[in-house]
Amino acid sequence: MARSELVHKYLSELEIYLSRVSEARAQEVVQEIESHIYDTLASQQESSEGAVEAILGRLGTPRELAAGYIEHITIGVAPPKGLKPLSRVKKGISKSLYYLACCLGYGSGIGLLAVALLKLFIPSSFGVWVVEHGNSVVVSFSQADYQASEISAVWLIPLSVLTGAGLLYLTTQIARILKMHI
Amino acid sequence: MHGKEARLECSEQKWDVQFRKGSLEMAILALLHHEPKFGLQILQKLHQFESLKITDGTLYPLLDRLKRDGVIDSYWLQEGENRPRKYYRLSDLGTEKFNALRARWLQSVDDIYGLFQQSGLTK
Repeated sequence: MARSELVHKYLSELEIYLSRVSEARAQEVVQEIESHIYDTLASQQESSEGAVEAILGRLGTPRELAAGYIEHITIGVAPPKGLKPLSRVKKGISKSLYYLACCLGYGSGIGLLAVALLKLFIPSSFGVWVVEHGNSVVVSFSQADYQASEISAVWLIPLSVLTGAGLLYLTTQIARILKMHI
Repeated sequence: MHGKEARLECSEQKWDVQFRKGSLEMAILALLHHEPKFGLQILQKLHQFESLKITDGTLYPLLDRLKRDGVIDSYWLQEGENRPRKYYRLSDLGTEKFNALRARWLQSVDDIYGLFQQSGLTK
């Protein structure tokens, strides 16, 4: 690239990065830097491409140089508008998390309480059986499997009531915290 | 041990940055005290002094800030065949500020040197 092209490219990039200041000011900065580059070249009595590159190197990249001029404008400025969709996505996530937690927590809590109630009122035809050495649990209205052993009412009712109530309480607490973030 | 050294170096750098900032500003005001100069002239003058060396990319935004602070003014001047140059000169506010800074600087150099002497810290 010829040296004047190098300078031209540098200056036009500088102008782009200076778009935060008024056009007149940006023009003035560009003119001053241009005259600095050519004055420096003249004072060195050397105008090779390498000499131009060395001067541009000392000025920093157009972006870095422009940053020095617009620092006072950019400090303490609110984040750009482009960040808004991001917070909306975040909001969406906490909203779905809220509903998910409510469904799961209240669902299982109410389910457990229902198990206790049903066992209390129709003990003969409702129960919970543990099948295959505890690998699966069956909740059923009728007498279930042959190999399954039933959990007796003495254990099932208080256990279901306690766990169910605990779950409902926990869900309410979590839902309250999540609600604050929606 | 490493952490302590790093911290020491870090605070030394911070101090250096603050110190340089203050001394560079004063040096520029001093350079413009007698006559207006353009950027390259200021840069070349500063490069004659070890602790005042500054890159081209630091000088121009600094001049811009001093101008915004109102301590220097600028104007364009074209001499002969040369391309126009942007000259800087002290404003009235700048002259006032420089005189105050200069007095304080000389006083503190004197004070610190005196303190070093009292403590036997001069070579």
